[in-house]
Amino acid sequence: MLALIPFLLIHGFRWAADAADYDGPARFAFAQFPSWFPFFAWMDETRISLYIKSTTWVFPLVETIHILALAVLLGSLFLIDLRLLGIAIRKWSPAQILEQLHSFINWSVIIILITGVILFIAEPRKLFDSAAFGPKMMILALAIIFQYTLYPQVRNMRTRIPIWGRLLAFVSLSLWFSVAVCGRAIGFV
Amino acid sequence: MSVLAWCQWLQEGSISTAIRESTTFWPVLEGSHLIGMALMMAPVMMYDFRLIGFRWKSDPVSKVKWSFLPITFFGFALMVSTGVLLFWSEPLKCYNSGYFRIKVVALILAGLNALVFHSTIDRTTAQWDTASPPPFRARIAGIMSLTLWTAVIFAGRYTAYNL
Repeated sequence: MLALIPFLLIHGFRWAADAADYDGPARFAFAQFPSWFPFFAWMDETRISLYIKSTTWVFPLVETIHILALAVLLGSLFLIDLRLLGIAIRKWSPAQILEQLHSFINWSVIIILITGVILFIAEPRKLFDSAAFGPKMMILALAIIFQYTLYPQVRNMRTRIPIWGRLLAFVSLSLWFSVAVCGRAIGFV
Repeated sequence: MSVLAWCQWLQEGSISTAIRESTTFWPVLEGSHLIGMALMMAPVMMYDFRLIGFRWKSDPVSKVKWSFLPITFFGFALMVSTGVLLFWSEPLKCYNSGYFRIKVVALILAGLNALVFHSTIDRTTAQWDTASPPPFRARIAGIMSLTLWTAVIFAGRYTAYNL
């Protein structure tokens, strides 16, 4: 069910475009907004971008670290959200689990952002045209805002979980899952 | 039949071709493999960090173990089922990749590490359940597990790059 969100974003617009005989750039790709082009083109010519492109080892290494940190972040959130939904780890309260995990979450977010920026610098032209990169950045912005504004409410769930605790878990899972799926989709669309 | 011949035979089969050439199923498989990785790694980390004495210090080892291990098994089942299909889709590429061989070796070592741990020091958990840090051998098992699973992920991702 969660996979529906990025699926709709990426494929839905393509189907709509096909139905309307639209053959411009993919909807929600940055290519839809030509005013962004100078930024992507400039990034493509920077020395650091040229350097990464001239090596074969930087990109795989950075991407693998990106994915490893993603596994830690997504996995940590899975654990807390499974607890919020009452499915697993019932011996501790959500607040206690978050207490043990919050440094993992913060560090993996930092590592993902740093490696993500390097990956962006490495191939801005490809990302400019990608139908998945635009949605990914939008959902990522939402996910980070959610993670650092509403999600910390979990800290107060020491004895019982309010009804909207499940909603919190569902929104958190949907957002981060969508970011990951859109990210993976960059390799395909 | 040599391993290479077997890989060739597998790759030429209709199932392998169907997975390899599908535009939807293959990305979904790979995505599920990634989700399984997250679902498996986080609880593995929690248990290993308890064994090392880095997290959950004031909680009994057995409580940490039985809270997180079921999620690990679920994630592992997802990893294996999607992993087998991914291998099935391109056995020759895997055969020719040095990184895939490293991955297989690291997987076997991770399995052996778990086997040795569960058949030796883990049997006496009751005696050091609340100890922090736990005995030396338990800490070694935790460090080994974290290192080997990280190696599996690295080698797995590198298999796809054709370096």
